[in-house]
Amino acid sequence: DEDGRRPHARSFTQHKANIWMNKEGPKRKKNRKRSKKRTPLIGTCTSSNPGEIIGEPPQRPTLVSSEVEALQVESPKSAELGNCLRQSKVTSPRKGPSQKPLCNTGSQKTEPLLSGLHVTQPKHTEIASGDPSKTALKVASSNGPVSTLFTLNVEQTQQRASKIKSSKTANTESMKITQSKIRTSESETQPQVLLEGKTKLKQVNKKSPQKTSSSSELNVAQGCKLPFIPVSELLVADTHSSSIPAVNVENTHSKPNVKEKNTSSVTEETHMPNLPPMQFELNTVIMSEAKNKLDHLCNLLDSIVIEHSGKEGYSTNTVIPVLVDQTAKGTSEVAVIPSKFESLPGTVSECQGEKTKEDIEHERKARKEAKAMKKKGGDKSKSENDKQENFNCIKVEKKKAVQQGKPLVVSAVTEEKLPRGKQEPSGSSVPSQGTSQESTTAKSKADLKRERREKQEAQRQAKMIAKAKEVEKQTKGQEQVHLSNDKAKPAPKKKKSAGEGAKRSRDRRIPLLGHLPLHFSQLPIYPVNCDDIHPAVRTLGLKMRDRIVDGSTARVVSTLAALKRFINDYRTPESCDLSRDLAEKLLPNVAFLNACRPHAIAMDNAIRFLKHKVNSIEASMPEAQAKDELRTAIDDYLQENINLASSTIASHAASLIDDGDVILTFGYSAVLIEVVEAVCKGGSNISVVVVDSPHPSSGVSMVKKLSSMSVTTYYRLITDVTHIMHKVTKVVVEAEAVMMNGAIQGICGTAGLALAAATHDTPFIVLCHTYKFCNNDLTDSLVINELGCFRV
Amino acid sequence: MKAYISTFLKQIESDDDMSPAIAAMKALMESLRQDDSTTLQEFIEKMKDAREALSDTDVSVVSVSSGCELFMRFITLKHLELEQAADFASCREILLRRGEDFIKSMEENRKKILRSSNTLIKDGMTILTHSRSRNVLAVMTEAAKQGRQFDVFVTESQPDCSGCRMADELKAAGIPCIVILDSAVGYVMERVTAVMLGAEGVCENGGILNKIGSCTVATLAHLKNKPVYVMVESYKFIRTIPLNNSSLPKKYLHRASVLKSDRDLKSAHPLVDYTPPQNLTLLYTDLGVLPTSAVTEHLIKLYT
Repeated sequence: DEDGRRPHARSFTQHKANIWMNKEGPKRKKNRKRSKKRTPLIGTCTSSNPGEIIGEPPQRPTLVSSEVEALQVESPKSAELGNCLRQSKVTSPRKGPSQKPLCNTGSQKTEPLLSGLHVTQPKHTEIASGDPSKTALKVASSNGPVSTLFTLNVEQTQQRASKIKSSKTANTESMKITQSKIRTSESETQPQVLLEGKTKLKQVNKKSPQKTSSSSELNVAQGCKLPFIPVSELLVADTHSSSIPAVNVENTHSKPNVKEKNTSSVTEETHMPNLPPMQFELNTVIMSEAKNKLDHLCNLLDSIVIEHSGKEGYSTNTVIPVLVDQTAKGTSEVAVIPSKFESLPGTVSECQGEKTKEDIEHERKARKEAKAMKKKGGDKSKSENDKQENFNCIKVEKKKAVQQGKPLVVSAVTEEKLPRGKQEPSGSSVPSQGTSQESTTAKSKADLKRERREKQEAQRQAKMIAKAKEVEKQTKGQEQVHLSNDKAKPAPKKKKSAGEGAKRSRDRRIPLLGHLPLHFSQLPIYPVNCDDIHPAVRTLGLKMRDRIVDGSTARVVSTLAALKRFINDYRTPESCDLSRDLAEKLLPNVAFLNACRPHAIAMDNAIRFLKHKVNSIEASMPEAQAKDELRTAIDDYLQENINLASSTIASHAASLIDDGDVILTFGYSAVLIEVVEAVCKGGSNISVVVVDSPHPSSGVSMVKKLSSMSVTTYYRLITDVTHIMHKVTKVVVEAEAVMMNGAIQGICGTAGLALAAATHDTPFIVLCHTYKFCNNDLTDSLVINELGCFRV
Repeated sequence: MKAYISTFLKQIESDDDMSPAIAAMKALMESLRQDDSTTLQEFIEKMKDAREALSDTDVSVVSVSSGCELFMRFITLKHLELEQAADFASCREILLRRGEDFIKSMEENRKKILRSSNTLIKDGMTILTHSRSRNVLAVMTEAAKQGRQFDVFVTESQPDCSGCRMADELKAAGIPCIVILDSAVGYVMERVTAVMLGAEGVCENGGILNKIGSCTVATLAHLKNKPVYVMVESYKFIRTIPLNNSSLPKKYLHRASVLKSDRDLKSAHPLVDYTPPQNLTLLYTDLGVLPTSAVTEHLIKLYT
């Protein structure tokens, strides 16, 4: 009896709202998504979110009316809520149209990671369609602080809209062509990120030739875009800071022999795809209105310089705190590649071998071209040796440009072009145009073409390499698994970091939560015939991963059941001690479960108990008896700590609940159902409000159970809990664990619920089994926590 | 009416200085002496009946029930020793001896509280107290005896005007005191340096059950950052944690006679209220000066 009682006392007396989220799962994921979309925006973020909501099915209206009869009684409330919802929707419509495409692209793509990249696309297309006002809106929605600037500019640009339209469409068409080319030339199996990035690159690059050809139109476009420079710098910088690492890696992948300078410049180039292309364009065009064709080209490059400068400036600085979201997004887009790269240095060297072959070919081609160019334009092309020098010059120039702004731009621009061309073909010689570009536009055109071609090749190379690496990793990972049973635990981790799952999950990391262990939707690859892991454990692991088995109590019960089966099937080898061997064999099973989903604290406790039992078996004990002892120990543990404890908790809690109480609870809780049963048995008439978090909507089954017991039940989402808190007399939740300091750990959202209850001075009762007590003392929910799974 | 109950009521009436809990213990002793049961179990059953009968009288149920529970807990502690006794007669001897020891030690409690709160009252203090508490009265009288100069505000404490009685007794001890209306607590609070309360019961979380109005006083004091000291014996510790005032059991709130009658309880005035531990500063007990959170610990020690 005492056992059941104490924990109670604790939770009451301390009354800590220091709850941390454990199962935040999809919910968290959602948040992350949001932040990503919100990325660049700071001011208008709230309004942009509803866009998402619109995309979602209208489950919000809070009530599962079909299931709960009592709800009808509640109808005024629900109506109220409905209104609220509608309002929120109404506020959003402005953003709605602009956001929707984003959502759609995100959802359509099989890889949600890329949504960051996708975000930029729709904007681009919008530009192409030539509706300036729309684009302005969109930009505004995505870039909070900047928005005002943009809208102003848009008004200016309105007159020129038509012209822009034509030029843009032309651009896009050409881009499409190039894209398709790229696609055909490159294998489709490549990770999408690469592809996306590259296509965008192409787009950006394409623009320059286009503009040279249709200069007048471009002029107009440039003119309207001019004023945005500062803005774009800011934004660019943000994205840059986040995206740099990835690009770097990409670069190194394609050409490991290229030096650092190269990589940096490449990164700069590749950043552009990350920016909303529109901005890029805007920048590019700044100066050119009054100038000739050559100047246009220069300006184009100039814009690039500016972007670089922006990047440089910011990359040296630490990221501005406000932009955390954005950086998160950026890293998510890009970080994948670096992780790969870092984790497998061995493979890189192998890839180099492949690359070099291609490189050689590439070089030859480039040289030929260079020769041809020499013949044509004499000073147009330079030797490979000059390249390096050029780069240095460019760097310096760039910096200057950054410092001084426009005046220097022209000179910088021309050189800026160079690194671009060079960077892409990894080791190949890119005839550098140098100052020659300035002299004649025709030459520059040719150069650009060449550059484009080379770039394509480089990209193809990069993809091939990346692919090769992927394959390498996969095989490697599998080998590792086979290598040793003892390493079963570390092995999955390695695989995680290497595999695609890692990529995906890495993508979504938020700096604030970066220290938390990742949860992967991909399982560690275990060979099918691996006998380390008992089939029961394997099944359970998969179920837990997919959240078929969810909730700490259920997980403990099923874990112990699975381990019991494992013990059942266990045979002690001839030469071994049962306790020692069994303990050892237990490890990979436990590790597997942990890899599927991080253990709950209660599970840890249960497993610790089992291990203790195993270790305390004497060597002299016959196997059958030992196994019998273990099985009964498990049964007793379940009986005492869960079944009996639950009924004790129920009787204690029932004594706290009076007739006519309105109880609010959160999610599904078996203990709470027992409590309600006990209360009803005691003759009290209570009603229960089940609050639920939208994603793992465990509350629905709770409502079903309760209403089948003919208890008046209401269903609400956690988001509107403050609306109804004043009508609630007691909040009763089940905890996943109780910390040493009396803080409790519950489903993500419990802390907020506790705060709401405290605000309304409503008693907050926590139900918890004693076996879920934990001797950790946590300061907040970020110290240790479980990240949600990434699948919706 | 059984003999021990009549002695209990007589004792409460005759000795005003005796806490109902002590009186209840003495009544239990009386019943123990008259007891004719032949086994320990039977005895325990009978004692349970006796306890219920005692709490059925028109006294403060809170302290009576806690005192009785503690008494029973103490005298029947260590069943082993009792089981070793040859027969129940010798067993009863043990119980009687223990009971007398326990009551004696409980009667010493007030002196212990006086010792622990020795330096509590200083010269120039203005103290607000609510209703009538024997412990508070004893502490103040003791301080006055030591020559401390301090003023006291006493609330009238409706419905039984026990505050007026308190004021008379204080004046008799030579302590200047003023009776204020219950509704004037907020008015005088800013002039007060400390609040002293007694308690009928101390809950497991350190909150107290006391004469109605205590919650108001403590809350207002807390609001004005005035310390609230509670003088209470450790036998008044009870093993419940009220969630809030509305979750107090009815037997605590109303006299037995009211509960028995068919009156509408909603219109009946409750006799006690619950003051949450957040509004209390320190508990001066025979165990020493305790923060509210220490009550839990003590009770856990006592009942496990």
